[in-house]
Amino acid sequence: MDDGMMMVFPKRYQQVMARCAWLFLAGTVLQRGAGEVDPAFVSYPWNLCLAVGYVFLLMLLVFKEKRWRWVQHLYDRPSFMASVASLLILCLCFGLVRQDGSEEGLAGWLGFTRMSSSWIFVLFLIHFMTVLGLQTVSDIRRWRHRKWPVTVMHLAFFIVLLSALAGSGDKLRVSVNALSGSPVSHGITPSGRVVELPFALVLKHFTLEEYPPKIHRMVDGTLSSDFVVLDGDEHLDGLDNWQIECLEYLDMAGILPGEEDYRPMNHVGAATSARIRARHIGKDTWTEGWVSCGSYLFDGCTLPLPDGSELVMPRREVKSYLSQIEVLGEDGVACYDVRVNHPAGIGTWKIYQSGYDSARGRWSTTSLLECVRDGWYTGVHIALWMILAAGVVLLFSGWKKNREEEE
Amino acid sequence: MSWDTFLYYALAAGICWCLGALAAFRKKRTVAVVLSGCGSAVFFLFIIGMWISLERPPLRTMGETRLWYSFFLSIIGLFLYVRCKYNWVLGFSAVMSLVFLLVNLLKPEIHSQTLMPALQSVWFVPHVIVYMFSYALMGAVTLFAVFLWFRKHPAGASAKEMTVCDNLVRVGWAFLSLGMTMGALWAKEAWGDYWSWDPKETWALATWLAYLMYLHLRPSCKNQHFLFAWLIFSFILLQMCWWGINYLPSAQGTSIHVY
Repeated sequence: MDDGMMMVFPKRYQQVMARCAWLFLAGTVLQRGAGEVDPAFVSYPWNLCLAVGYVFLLMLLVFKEKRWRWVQHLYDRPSFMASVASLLILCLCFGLVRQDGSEEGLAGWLGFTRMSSSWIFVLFLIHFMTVLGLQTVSDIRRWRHRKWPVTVMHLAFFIVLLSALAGSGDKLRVSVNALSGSPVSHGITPSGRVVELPFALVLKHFTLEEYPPKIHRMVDGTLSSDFVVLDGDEHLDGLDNWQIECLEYLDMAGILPGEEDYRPMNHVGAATSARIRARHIGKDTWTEGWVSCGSYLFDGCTLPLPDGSELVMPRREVKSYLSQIEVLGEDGVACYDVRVNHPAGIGTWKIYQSGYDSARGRWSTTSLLECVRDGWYTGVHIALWMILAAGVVLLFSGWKKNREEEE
Repeated sequence: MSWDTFLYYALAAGICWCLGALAAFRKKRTVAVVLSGCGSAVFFLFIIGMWISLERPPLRTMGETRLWYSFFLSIIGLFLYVRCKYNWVLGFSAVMSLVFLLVNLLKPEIHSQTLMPALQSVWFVPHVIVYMFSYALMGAVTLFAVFLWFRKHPAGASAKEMTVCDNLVRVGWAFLSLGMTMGALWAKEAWGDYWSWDPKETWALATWLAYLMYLHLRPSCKNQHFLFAWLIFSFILLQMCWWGINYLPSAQGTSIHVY
């Protein structure tokens, strides 16, 4: 190694890299011997005991570091750099290897095709967390007011990592298929296990709002990127070389067998339809007819143009959807509105809006919900807000005049 | 405001930025600041106009994020020029902004007013803007590092120049941390998981770790070549996170991120 590289990788770095190599080896042996890491291998209360014991051990190590000199070597700068570098390398593997759980090749053999369950990854994560934890305890012990944002950042990331590793056993996610009016009190985990919920829920009402319909031109089966938005009657706009005129717009319409025209239909399954006149700009050709996006009840309808292309109204895009649910728990009955980004909270459980019967669209009578139990929610949330606060302070204190000022 | 008017705004902003950069090279500071500021203001006016006409923040598509990237690059260039008084910095930021502006002219990717339900969150705007700002900061520091690395100067970069690099990375990393944390809070609200190892998230973490390494490497590492190389490497990871994963076979069809 030349002088330049020695400056970058002095002997201490070689030692910590050797430590990482041992961790890699241990991870490989565990991966081959014990299989994947089971995220639920330890749950409450044992995970809490483990987490408390681990934090106590870190504190003990830092408080005894004057007597046990080797402790400082666990979280000095080279140790930190090695822990971050090893995690970075694994992240790159994570990003470059398709995460499909395949057993093929070296990546599959090492468990890199399901990285988050790989022993090597988990050991490196624990290594990083330990270095970070020791540094955090040391920061707090030798509190320097000037460095509080960094200390808070260290502490918050440590809490997040510890909660993620120790709390994964407590987390439970189940899918609930709620049919309108029918109580449901169980869900299905991603692995297919049926789980009884501590409450029952009833879907009272499901509503879905859509964006206005769009008219695209389809040439050889390919939709044009340009489109015309129909948000009412008499809409005039240009689409490629065609001027589009909306002669009649029906938000809820249907067509009866044998008929050629759509008619207003205030009924479940009605589809948005519009009578369109398309006039070619430049040539004096025009055509007129119905286009409809269709629904689960009615077929869609396109308008053929003289040049062989077609005017098409694709299914309307979803703007928002909402499930009004009633939850029957130990505390009685409560009503909630569940939307995407707006889950309902019931104790340590949260109910998320995940989907609906997409074939029926706005006429769906089924709401797909996900119930997630996460007992570590509050702790992680507080830690994330601590990161936000420390990050904002770092933004304003980050600009130094020179390195000496920083040191 | 429609996308059809972008050409005029882009032309006005581009001309202002170029003239501002020229004035900076000729050491006419006030003129340079005013012209570059005008360019950024014109560009921001277009972004605001698009925001109003689309009835949603223009942050959904790759083309829309490029708008913000151009804007933030010009702002960071102006800030560095005012703060550090480097005559060349406005030229750099102008060229970078113009490149992204040109890409947007050739490949706009702004078509629709629609915003899918998952994007209708209070975190949407701060998450993406904070990330775009950090990307622009990291872009600026990468250009600076390339300039310092390849210029013919026997003494290498000065302490002051290295401090500018460090400051840009420090502030950029703080923004990356904010963006990542906001993303985690948003994901928890939307899907019940803070982190799901989506390819975008994996590469975002790799980028964050790489810049974290730079920050912790700096006090002990005096090898400027290594530091500059590391900054460029980190920026490559950032590009992978931003748009590179769209072309990565391992990430095809697995990311829920829309840009």
